[in-house]
Amino acid sequence: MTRNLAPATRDSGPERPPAPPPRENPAPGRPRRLVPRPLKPIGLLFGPVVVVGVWELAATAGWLSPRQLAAPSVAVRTGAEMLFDGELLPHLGASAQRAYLALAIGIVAGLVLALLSGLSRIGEASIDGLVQIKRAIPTLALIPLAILWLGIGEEMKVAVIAASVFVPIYLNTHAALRGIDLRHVELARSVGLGRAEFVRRVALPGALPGFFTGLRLSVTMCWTALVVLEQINATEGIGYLMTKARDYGQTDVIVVGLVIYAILGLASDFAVRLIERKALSWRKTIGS
Amino acid sequence: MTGTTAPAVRTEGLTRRYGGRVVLDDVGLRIAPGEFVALIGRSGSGKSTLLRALARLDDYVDGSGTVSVPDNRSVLFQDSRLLPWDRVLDNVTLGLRGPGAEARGKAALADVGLAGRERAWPNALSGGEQQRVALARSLVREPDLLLADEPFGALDALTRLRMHALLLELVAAHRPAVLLVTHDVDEALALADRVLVLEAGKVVLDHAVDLPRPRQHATPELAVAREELLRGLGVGAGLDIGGAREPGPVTA
Repeated sequence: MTRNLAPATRDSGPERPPAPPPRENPAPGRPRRLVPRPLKPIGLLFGPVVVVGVWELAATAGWLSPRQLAAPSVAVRTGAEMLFDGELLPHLGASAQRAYLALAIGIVAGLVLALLSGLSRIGEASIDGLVQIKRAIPTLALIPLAILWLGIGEEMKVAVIAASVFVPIYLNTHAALRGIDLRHVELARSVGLGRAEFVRRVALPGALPGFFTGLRLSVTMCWTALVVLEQINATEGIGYLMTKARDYGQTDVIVVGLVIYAILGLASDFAVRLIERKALSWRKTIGS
Repeated sequence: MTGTTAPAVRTEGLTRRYGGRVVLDDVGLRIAPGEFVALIGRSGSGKSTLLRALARLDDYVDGSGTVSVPDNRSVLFQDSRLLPWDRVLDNVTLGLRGPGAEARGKAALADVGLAGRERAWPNALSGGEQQRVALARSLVREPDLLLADEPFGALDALTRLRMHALLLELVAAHRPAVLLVTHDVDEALALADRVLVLEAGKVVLDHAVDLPRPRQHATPELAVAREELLRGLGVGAGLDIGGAREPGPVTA
């Protein structure tokens, strides 16, 4: 976008004639870029800003009826009002509590199962097949059974979210444990590590990158699962707010709910990435 | 050099097979305490198989024979094999027990010239530095037997020469028995008390190198030994392989 078409004029000496119009090679001595330059983080906002701009334009021009979709500016005003009159926070709190409680349960379950399955044959024989089957069943298909077993209260919601959240944690941690470098196993034997020490010094640190991959998937997943569940017999929560707004045709409230989900998902992912970068600081990767 | 004391390493009728193919064929090996033995041979001659048998890292390999090695032994691998998530000092003291482990680790790092790098991540070190950490990890245990599997194969020539000197110095201080697997005749002659040539799973040549160290590269004695070893390796005599009287360049 900001490619300088005639950089030769800048770094060429006085003896060189004015740069001819560039054709095949834009500048002698400066190789053509085959890969784009790295994007600054703020550059990622370009797409979203354009979309919101077009959306606002369409709304103010009257192409978009408020019954179909409220303008972003209206949604912002509604969101601010809801925040300041204290309507929003209890819903947000209720949702966050569900999501993070379920996430915590899912992390522990996924991790424990992955360790059992990744570090013992009998564990793998008993656990891995079951998790693979569970993985093939969509979480939402479990809701009817979950309602029959646990009712329509909080327990059911937390249980269903936890049941979907543990899967990526398990899969990625397990795969990382199975993929432990055999050379490291050999090293552990040659320096005489016992089993417990091997797990603590070699297996777990080696599986940590896999665990974090799973955690990032799970963190966004717990919010996704929440949307559907909060439409079942909830009296508070972002999902409840949005269901109610649908009944009254308040598209601005629906947009507020969507934005909150997006913010929570992105913020959670960001937090996990921060922790990950700290925990895996030994890695020298291109991305860091 | 081989006195009447019990050998540090002793194998009887050591045979190893991979998928029916005999890789080690009835090898009887003795290494005296404190003796430095180099094992050379071409790729596929069974060098690494023999080393792994002595390291007792081959329990799923088909074979027979007895191996008697000290319990306190270290392996120096071709790759430095550091745990990337542990800092340098933690790598050195991996598996080291008892109080003073940390102090011993620091001393071992100082021995290989890496004092002050205790808190570095392995990925931040150069290849030669990583292999020095691995050397420190091997020697901090004060092993009775050091098994080295082409430990300098991946290093550049200059770094390798420096590592040779360092290894000799440390081996002289700790006096372990050493089995160094290498495919480099010059490396074997520069370092070892005795050079074995392995060919098709058998020791076909056992050559004592009774020369003082540090060894100059181009002495006539070494050139004669070199030619004999190369003949043992099946590299025909008459090949120009760096003549005796040529003060030629170091080709380690």
